[in-house]
Amino acid sequence: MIALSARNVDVSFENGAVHALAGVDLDVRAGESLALTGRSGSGKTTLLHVLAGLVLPTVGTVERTATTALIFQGANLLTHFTALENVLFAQVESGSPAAIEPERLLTLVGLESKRGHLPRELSAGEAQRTAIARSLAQRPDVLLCDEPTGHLDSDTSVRVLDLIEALQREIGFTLVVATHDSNVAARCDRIVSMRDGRIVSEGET
Amino acid sequence: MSLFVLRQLVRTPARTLTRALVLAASAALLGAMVLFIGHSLRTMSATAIRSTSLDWQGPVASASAATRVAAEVAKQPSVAMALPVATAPFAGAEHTASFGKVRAGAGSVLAVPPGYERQFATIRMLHGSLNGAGVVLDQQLAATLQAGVGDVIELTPRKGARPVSLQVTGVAIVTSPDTLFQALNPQTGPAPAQPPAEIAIIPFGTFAKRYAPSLGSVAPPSAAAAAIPGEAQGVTWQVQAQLDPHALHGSPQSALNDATRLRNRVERSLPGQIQFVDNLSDALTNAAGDALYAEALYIMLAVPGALVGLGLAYLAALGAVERERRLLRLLRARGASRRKLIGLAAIESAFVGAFAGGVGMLVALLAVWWLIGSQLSAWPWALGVSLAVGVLGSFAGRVAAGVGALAEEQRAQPPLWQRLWLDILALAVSGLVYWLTASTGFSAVVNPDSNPTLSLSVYMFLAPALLWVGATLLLVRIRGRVFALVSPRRATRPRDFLLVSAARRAPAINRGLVVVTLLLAFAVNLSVFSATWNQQSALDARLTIGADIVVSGARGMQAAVSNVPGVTGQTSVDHTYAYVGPDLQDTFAIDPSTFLRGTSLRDSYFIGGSARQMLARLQKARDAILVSKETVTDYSLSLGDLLKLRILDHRTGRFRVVAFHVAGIVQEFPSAPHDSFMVANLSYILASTHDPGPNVVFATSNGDVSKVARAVARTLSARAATVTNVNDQVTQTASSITTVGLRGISRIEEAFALLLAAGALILYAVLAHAERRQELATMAALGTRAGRIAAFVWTEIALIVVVASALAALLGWLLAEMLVAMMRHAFDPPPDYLAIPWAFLGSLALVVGLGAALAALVSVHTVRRMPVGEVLRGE
Repeated sequence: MIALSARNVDVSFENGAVHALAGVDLDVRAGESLALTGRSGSGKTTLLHVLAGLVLPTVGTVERTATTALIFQGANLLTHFTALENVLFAQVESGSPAAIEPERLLTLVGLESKRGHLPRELSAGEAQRTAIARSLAQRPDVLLCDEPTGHLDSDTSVRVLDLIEALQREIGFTLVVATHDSNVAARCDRIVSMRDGRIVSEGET
Repeated sequence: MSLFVLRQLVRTPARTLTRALVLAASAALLGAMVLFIGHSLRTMSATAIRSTSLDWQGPVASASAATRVAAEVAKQPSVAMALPVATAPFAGAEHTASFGKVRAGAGSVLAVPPGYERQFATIRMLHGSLNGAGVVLDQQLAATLQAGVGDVIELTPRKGARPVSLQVTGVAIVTSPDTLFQALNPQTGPAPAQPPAEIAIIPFGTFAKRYAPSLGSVAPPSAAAAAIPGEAQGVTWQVQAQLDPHALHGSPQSALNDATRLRNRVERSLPGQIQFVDNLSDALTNAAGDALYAEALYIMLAVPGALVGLGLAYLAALGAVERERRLLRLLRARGASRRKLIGLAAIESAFVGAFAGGVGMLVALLAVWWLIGSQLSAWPWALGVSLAVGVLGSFAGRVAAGVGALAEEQRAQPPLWQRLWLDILALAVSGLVYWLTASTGFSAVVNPDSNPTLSLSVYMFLAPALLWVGATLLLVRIRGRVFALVSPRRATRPRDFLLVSAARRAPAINRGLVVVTLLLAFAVNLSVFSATWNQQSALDARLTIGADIVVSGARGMQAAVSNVPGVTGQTSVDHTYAYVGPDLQDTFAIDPSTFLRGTSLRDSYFIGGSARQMLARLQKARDAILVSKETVTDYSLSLGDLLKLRILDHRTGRFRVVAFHVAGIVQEFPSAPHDSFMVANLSYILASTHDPGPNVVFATSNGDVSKVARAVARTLSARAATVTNVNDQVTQTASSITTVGLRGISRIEEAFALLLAAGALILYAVLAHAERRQELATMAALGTRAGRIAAFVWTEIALIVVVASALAALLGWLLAEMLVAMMRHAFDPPPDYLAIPWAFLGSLALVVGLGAALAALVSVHTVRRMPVGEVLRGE
């Protein structure tokens, strides 16, 4: 079953001066884990944003049969909310009742003791784990992760990836990860490589 | 370097424009203030010069000396004219009418060359002219003698002297008798005297030949030439001169310096021949005092607004501080030296500031021109101030924002002023000064003898100034912690998150709160103070002149006045004089049954009874009289005591004793002087003195008082009456500090306050978006709708509006109370309560509401147009 589908998607910025995506066709299957790889500027993040609905294609269409949530490279927590409030906010804004209570989500990501902490009081790893909990509070069918370990040291990166895999197993969401790290990509079911806004290769791991 | 700066400014047009416009508003406010002060000072000079009917009077020894010296003075540069004049007493006047002889009592003679009345505004001819060997009678003397043009009268210079027979060639009103007949002593200066009851005007040559020989000359200088009937014993020869008003420039002080310099030059050029009593300098000295007071008042009212405006500039700079820092780091990394970076900041500030100063100046010129229709000759000063405010404000705002943000990050403990509790100290000292001011009666204005005199002290401005400082610092210290009170314990609903966010962003909200509170407090304080000032000026003016409309010299004109459309009521009053022992006191003869139809009374004017009770007492006993407290004390009087007064008998021209009974004590009375005076029954006074009838009409109007007064004047134009109205009295700036006009400057500042308050809210919305762009984009990425995201900004604006309005009402009211308490002694009667300008406060609320609504729309619009993907990728 296809959760997300992009057909012939072009995205350009600054009145067509910058072409971020060109003729992208991609199907994301429900339940799979997919890695989008490529160098900086290859179009990974833009493709994620298109799949999440944050950026509208200049040309082409995107079909979504599943709900999405996005994890950013820099966590992007709401700075004036505590860790718990960040999770609560996402859950309230999703408009659907919680499948897993926000407190339990924070426990799942190992932050039960940091519930009342503001983002500035969290380490980068803790902030990213909070962002994961927040995204899960939205009850997504597809979790879109933009360089989720880009700002983390290698030990923390491993722990965060382990956590995402464990949660995927437990909750059962589809995972799309944009990364330039081959180790991260290797942990996914399928790898899609991008260059200059185009998909240049695709294969199973 | 300049090109680089210009490119940077052009690349971020919205930011540059915001900074420039905010600065322009402050520059415009100060520029307008400078324009207005310049205009006010010149108006005060012009009014003082115009109100001086006779600039210089120099006593000389003889008629020939007067003629010779006048000719010399007239040749001096900047002297418009100089003529020989004399004043002298007469013991009596007589006219043989067809029905018999009519006599008038003692009076004074004014001797002037023919044509004098065309050059000096001390005489207004009603009929005929002054020529040949004739005499012009003052209208009152003409009425007493029942003489007209062509009749022959006899004037007796002194008892026992041979009467001088003169043909009446005209009838006139002597408009400045107190100045014309004052004792001339150049050492002591002007001393306006009680005007003579009767005045005759004789040509100077005729006077010197036929009249003066019967009297001796008063040797100059002498204080014995006062014009109270019977006191002046000889002829006072004098030279009267008028200056060219174009020779006097600028503020009253500057015009005073010009006038003094001119007088010194004239006196030096005629050594030993003349010294002047300088009425003009006296008027300008009073005006200079008023001007000093007005300047202090204007500055006190306007500067807080301009400073808050600069606070907005700081706020605008703060919104861009992060971007500035990134640019500076980049430049630093590329090798730019510290000096170069400061140079760049200075050039950028100069560009933005010059633009803002220019725009501000233009706005100030337009505002002053539009709001008060002023002449704008002070524009070079205003331009200088606007540019200085623009450039320095821009640089200071940038530096303060940068340094402030850095200090905030690095600060391990509260700033020094917080550790020293300077805010609380300022508030405590402010309260103490206010208490001392209120309890000891110390005030800006000392009014010991009912002559409004000015005593300025820095001390008196401490209370409101420290309240401004203390309140501002206290608001900064609190850092909006009060918003934590509205925050829920656990956020479960969308609105809970709005309040949680507001509570956590309290320090940021507080910056907006401080600026908006101070702006609104400035507007509330300004409007309440100026409304109270205007209310008291009107009350003061009404008490000073007597009623809405006053017709003087109005014998037999009551019916004509009452028929004028717009006149709703009127009463007749005879203003005369009576001796209590040796003291000559103003005496007001009124009709108690009609008095309140023409004017109003307050209970506080009387001691021992209400206004109505006092009128009832007068009505009950024909010989009842109300006397001042001073008279009661000086003559040990009690209610019911017999009081014998000497009053001028118009039939004989002599004072006669009339018996009254004390019926009450009066402190204030419409048109009465502030010291001693009396109020009696009109019918009794007229019967006792053979007075031809009441000489004043008090009238009320329910329409445009100025318009109705003009209609009254038109109706009476053929008759010798002077019409004054309360509006003219309010705008007159010759003598009293309460006539300082706040209307113009308060209109300008209120307009700016409205604009700045609305602008501050919109600026806050723009800055909040700039500061939280990433956060708001994240919310959008989490699926939050645009309207709900915008609510995070407009909720803060709503909180600011609500809290700022409450705080501003309190602070503005306190400030207005303080200012009015300080000015209490300036007003007569003092204000019992603050006047609330509901119309302006309503407009303020409306504008703030519209500003908040506009800010909310800006929020929604900005969120809807936000490129979420670009923002999340760090643009």
